[in-house]
Amino acid sequence: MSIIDKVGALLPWRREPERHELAPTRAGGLAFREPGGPAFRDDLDRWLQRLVEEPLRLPGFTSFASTPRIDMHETDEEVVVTVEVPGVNGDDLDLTISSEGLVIRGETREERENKRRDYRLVQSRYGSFVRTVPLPPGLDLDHPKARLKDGVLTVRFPKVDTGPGMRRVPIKQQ
Amino acid sequence: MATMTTTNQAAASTRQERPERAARTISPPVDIYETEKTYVLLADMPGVMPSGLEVVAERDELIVRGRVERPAAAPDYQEFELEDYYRAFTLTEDLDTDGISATLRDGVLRVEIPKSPGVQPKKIPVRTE
Repeated sequence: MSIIDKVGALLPWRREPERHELAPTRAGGLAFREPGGPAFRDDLDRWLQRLVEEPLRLPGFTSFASTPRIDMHETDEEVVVTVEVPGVNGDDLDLTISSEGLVIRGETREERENKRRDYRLVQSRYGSFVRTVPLPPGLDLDHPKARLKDGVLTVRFPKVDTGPGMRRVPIKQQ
Repeated sequence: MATMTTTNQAAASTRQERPERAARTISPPVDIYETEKTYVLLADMPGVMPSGLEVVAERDELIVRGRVERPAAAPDYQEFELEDYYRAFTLTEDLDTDGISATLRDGVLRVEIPKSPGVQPKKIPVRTE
């Protein structure tokens, strides 16, 4: 196998469709093959998603390669931010609330970063990252609850009826 | 280029169709590196609890499955989906499938696959005459 073929096999559009090979097979090496179609397509989807969507996301706050993905949802009582942080230990994660919003900083564990290894396939993101999530008004920023479990960070902000500096104005009826 | 565009559109429509959620799985991104005696596979599977993880090595196939606890409500703003994971790999003959070990930490699965003793580098003593 020539070098060009090896490199080519890593590019999704150069992969042989009938074999769904994910990495070049070295002589006597390990073959990585997806037996089914959907999983492979999902893989391709992810790759395309990274290529197409990520550079567009919040320019200025984040860098291309190191942005964790977030989900947000709102209930009557709270706003919940969920962040994908696989490989990040609680000690390596730092949350702050600034005027910009919730700032999430972190680092994936060192196994991936510090040592040069003989990699056959690299799809994960690793290294340090920072992500700023703008928060809507009306949240109690003094009492957020954060939980890190199985590589997913969940931060909950309770809603408040009256924000700081807000005062209810009584209305006299005549 | 035309193929890429088509695939991307197909992906976008799949993501919006709620009824398909139950059957959908995500293929976790994987790093693989080789050491002298093993292959190490690292799969990002955030949201998978140890009890929801299944790693099966059967003959020439390594299958990784992970169940996640889906959020009760659909997110109002979404960049990722918390979905079950599935990915399969073909194992070649030169791997010792009996010696495979797996650990899960912080949402990252680490699978270590030893090479068969026969393919591990062997030092050949040279005699001088």
